[in-house]
Amino acid sequence: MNTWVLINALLISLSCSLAGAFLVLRHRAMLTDAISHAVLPGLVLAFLISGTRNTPTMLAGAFVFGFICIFLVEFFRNRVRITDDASIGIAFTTLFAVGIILVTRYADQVDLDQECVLHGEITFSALKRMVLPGTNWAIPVTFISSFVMLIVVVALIGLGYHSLKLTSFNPEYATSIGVSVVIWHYLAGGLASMVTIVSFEAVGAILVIALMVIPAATAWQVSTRLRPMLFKTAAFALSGSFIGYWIAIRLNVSIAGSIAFFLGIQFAIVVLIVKALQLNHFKMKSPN
Amino acid sequence: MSNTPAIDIHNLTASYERKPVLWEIDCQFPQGKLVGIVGPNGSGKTTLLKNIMGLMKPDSGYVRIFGDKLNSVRHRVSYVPQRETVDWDFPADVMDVVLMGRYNPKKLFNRITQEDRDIAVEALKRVNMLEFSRRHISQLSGGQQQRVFIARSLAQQADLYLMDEPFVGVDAASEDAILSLLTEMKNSGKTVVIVHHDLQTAFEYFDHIALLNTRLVACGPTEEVFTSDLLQEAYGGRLTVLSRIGELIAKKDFPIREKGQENN
Amino acid sequence: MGSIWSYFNEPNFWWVLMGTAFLSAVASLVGTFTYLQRKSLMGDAIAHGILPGIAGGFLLAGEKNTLIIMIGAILWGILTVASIQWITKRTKLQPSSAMAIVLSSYFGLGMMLLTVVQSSGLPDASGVNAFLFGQAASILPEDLRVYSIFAVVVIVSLAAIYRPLTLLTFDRASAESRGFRVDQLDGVLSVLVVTATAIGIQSIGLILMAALLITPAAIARMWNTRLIGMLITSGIVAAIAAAGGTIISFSAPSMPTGPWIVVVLFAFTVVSVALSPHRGLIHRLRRRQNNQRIIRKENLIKRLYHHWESNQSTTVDDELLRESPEYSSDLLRRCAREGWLKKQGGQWEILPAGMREGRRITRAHRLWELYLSKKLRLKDDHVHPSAEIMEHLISEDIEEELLRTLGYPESDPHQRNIPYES
Repeated sequence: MNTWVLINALLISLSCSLAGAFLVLRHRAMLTDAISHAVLPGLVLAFLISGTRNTPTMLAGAFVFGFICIFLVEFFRNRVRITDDASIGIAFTTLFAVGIILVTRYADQVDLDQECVLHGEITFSALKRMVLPGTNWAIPVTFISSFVMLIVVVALIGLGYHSLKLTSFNPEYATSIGVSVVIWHYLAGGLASMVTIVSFEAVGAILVIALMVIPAATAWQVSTRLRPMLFKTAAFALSGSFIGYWIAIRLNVSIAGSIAFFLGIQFAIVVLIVKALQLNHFKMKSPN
Repeated sequence: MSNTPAIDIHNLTASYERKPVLWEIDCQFPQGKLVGIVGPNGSGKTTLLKNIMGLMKPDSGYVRIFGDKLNSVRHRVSYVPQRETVDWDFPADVMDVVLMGRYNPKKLFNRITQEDRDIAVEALKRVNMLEFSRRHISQLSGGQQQRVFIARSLAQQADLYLMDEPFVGVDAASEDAILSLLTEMKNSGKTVVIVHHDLQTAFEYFDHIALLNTRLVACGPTEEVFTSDLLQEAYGGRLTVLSRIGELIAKKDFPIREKGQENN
Repeated sequence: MGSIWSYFNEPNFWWVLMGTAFLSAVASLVGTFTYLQRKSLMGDAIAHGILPGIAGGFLLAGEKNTLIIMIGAILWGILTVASIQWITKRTKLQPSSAMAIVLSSYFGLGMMLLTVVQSSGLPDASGVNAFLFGQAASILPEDLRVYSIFAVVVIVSLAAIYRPLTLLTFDRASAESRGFRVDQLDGVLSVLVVTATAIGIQSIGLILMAALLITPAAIARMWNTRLIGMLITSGIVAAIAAAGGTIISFSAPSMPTGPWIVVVLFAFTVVSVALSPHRGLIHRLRRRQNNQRIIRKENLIKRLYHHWESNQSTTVDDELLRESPEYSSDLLRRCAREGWLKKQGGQWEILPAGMREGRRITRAHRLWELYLSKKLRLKDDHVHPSAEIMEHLISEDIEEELLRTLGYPESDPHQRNIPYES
């Protein structure tokens, strides 16, 4: 039982961290904060309208609200000339507020509550199972959706690797050779929205941010090229999630909280080690 | 080499936040020359380049490149943006950046071939940077970073090169290297357009100059443009009528052209 | 309805209402400065980051002791700011990434501590949730006293550093050159943001605290061009929104306050986007329509003046007018109302005022063409399109300047006469 929870957490952490890497490289990390909050009303409304909790309906609802959030941000910034970060702030706090009001108002029907919005329900993620056709293996449904998501993320990054790299590094140059910066900007954002939505139920609004930003930021400290950085991102996501999960079980505390915190600790340790090595390197090089 | 101008700019007006920063620019740059876009700070040099490259939409007028719209000749044009516009901490080494010049947006799978690599190596050789090909881009000097950008541009194998301030923050050695490369490019029939702010060196570097100060002061062969009267005019400040009417346009949210006349 | 509104008679309600309004107004004042310095999301990072301070304060005190929780929140808030600064200084990461890292990992730690609190069996353990989304109805007069003391400290500090802070906000370089300790001011402002966040935790809750720091300031910016006006507007907006949230919280006790405050704030935003002067959508739409009306009207009278120029006749057939692209009976009526035209039978007569107007626009057009040709060295066949629009824009003083620069010229680049008033 616990193994499935752990495997699910690791799959989610891989998808989130890889999709988040391109936002970190674009210096748009706080967009993850906005998206992860803004999809909540979509999830609740999709659930209220359809009455089921199946993934495609929730995805549709969340996508609609992800786009509403992006639209609001662009509208405030371009049409009303509110500053960039304030536009993000207004859009996502409003949508999240609407989501919380809906959750509270329809608490009895939605079987989501304020707490699980923040913590996620990863411990319950292994409960609902389905039997794989042709075998007698009972596999948790969430495992399947997390696995499919990981394949989608890896495939999109694989196919769009060069365009993502080019538009992240030098958008003006990319435009000059005819690559549409806008399209890839939205694809990178859309990828992040997708992983947010699929992971939201399991890990909650805050861990999604940690997973998308921290492993990539950690890997960046020790990478000089993009491809190795992506592999290291995946590795840091796995190790941080594993340690966080293990400690949460040991101390009997929030799993999502613990993973987020230990991803942060891991980042701090890596930065300190890198700085220490650089200092050493510098000392050896300098004549005195 | 045909007589079609490399770049033909027709009545181009461009603005930021509704306020015009370029007024009715109308000029041609000939093929096979080193062309300088010269003017004081804030005179709209970079804005002009961005409009030529389609990075900004003008309020009026249009640009033709080799007599055609940009989209149909894009493969013949290469753009070198200002060095400060990118994050040099990005995880990429010198070779990665130069190989970006071989990227073709029309192909879905862009596998880098051996030919691409050879072209990139050749480009790095021409800017004397081959020995640094595996170095991370943040560990280069300003001049070296500029040379990497130019190498990426060379790898595109274009006919027209547009460079935004390639000599800013560049050491003397790099400046010489870049300059002799530019001459070499010109001699092989390429056209190079350079945004440049230094009047002292502009005279030696360029064959053809567009003198700019929010409006076009002069455009022609260097000796004709570099007269004290014209320089005085370009560096003697803005025209008050233009700045006042520009403010009025922004304040009243007034159009730059009557409806349907934006291309004139 | 009577039962729902019964809390209006409770003295506690009025205390809480005024209290939350006051606290929110104070927070929005600090938010105005961070908004203008484009550091809005810093407030969000701080608000999430202080959760360990709250949970830790609760565990230390062993009960819901507002003072200790406040101190815990402020100390951890300062640690949050320091951590973000440490990351941006020590690594190549931008503030945006640093904020996301610190925000999420500290909030994670806070969530770990919250689970500890909830399983601790301490009294009020479930009350900690009020800090996440706000619960105005749970605020007691004692709590209010603690928050208000901190709020007063914030106001006094803001007043004390008002002038250097204003200078820093609008012109960082000049503040530096005039010898202000810019880094110290930054530090003080950060502590003020932390404190302003902490005083709002029970009324709006920390998750949505960012809205109180950002939205009132953004709304105020749409209505004001001066700082003092912005501060007053954002304070009032925040106070009204907080009062609205409080009323809702009292009517439906299970409802958190914070989201409702945010919804009220958003309603203010929508109204401002539509109605505010200069930047408001309706105002801008009207201004553009007005521009088009002026252009059409002036084009018509210019055409009539040209008719006079070629025929020396002040009367025009209605038939002839119908051929011009801007013809519309509404437009003619408007010109008539201006005293430019008069209809007589099937003909229109141009009145002296109309002649003057037509002459003025024609003069502006030809002056601009000459200006483009002389000063911008534009080819003669390239000057017309620009003049077609500038003729409507050239005001009296700009015309005067054009005349002076061009030396009161007689004719335009196409050798047409430039008409003056005799």
